[in-house]
Amino acid sequence: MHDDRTSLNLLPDAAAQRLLGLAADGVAPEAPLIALIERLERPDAQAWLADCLALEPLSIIAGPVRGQLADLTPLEDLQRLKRRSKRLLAASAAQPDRLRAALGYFLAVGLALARHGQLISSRPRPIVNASIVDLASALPPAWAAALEAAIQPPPAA
Amino acid sequence: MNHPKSRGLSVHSIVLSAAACGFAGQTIMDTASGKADLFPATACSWIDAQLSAGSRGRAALNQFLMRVYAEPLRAYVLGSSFRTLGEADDIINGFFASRLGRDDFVPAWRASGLRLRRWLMNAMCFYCRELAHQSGRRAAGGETTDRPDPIAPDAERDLERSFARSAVRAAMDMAQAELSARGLGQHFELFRRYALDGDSCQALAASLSIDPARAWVMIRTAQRAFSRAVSEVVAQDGAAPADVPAEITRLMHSLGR
Repeated sequence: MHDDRTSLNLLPDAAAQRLLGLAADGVAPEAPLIALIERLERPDAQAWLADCLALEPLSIIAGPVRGQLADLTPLEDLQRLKRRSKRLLAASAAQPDRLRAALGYFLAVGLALARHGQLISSRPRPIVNASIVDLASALPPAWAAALEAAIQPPPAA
Repeated sequence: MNHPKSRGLSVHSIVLSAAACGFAGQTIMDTASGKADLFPATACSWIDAQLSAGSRGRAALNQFLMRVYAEPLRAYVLGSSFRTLGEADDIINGFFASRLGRDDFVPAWRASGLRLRRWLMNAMCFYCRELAHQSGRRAAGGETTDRPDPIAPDAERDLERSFARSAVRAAMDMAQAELSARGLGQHFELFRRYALDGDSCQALAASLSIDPARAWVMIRTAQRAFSRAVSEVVAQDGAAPADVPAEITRLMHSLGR
């Protein structure tokens, strides 16, 4: 893309240190999100998402076409999705349920921010921001696009 | 003497060889048992696969060892009195040529319980002493056993710093290979420019005419691939799964000393 680049072969200590810092940062998002991202990185993620969207509680945000999100979901429905997802996460020890609940929770929070500009989580905004960008980076492009309005890139130095 | 074979190595080819044996792209966290295991299951299973995969597997393993450890061992030699034995590159080349052909070399590391870089450092010590013996004998008609003082105070620190840089280089190559294979080469390029060249997310987005939020998602996607790759390199060095995050932090701090 451009030639004025730091060479990996002559990697300065400061650059290597910064990269290791980014590696450490990438290792430890919130625990339910780690499992969710690992699920989304499997080859059958698209089919799994479509299955999740057909089931409660995520069917609230399902669009008319299987595997697609609804274009518009009222804020009240997103709040309901968040509550039900939290209840499912607390009530079930089964991993498929817990993964679906985590997906519902993070999607509800992300879509509420992206489409309504409302923070419906009690977590601090920086933590919510990091979770949404991590989720979006693991989702298929069409799903990630639905969250992008909620994503705040780091300010330019 | 020729320069080390590692000079011409491409980690991309190593990663592809590794992928053929089922290592690349796996996450060491998948197999974490939570127990304090000296030998991480994924790293060991990859190493086992190479050892039992005939000459091709051995070649992939040897290439990986040379790619990741040649520079740290070179830094170690240069930081010690072993540097008086000859050109550092020649010493490293001779060391790998002497040791990597031995069937018991890698299994002996696994039995040691040491981090691979420390074990290779010890092996390098023995090798250099052999070199000193040979040169002493030649100089004195075959009788003397002159040995150099092996370790200068900074040699081990130099090895740690160099290993940290080497792990980053190998992980960047692995992440690039993985992302390119998934059709996400542009994600890696953005990450590289953001993390290595210091370009801002906004500037990168403008250069591609995309939204900054999209650029940030792409950068984070590549960052996670890089993070996984660093974890794999550290696990292959012998860190238990539960110790990987702390080991990455230790390496980061080693560069600040």
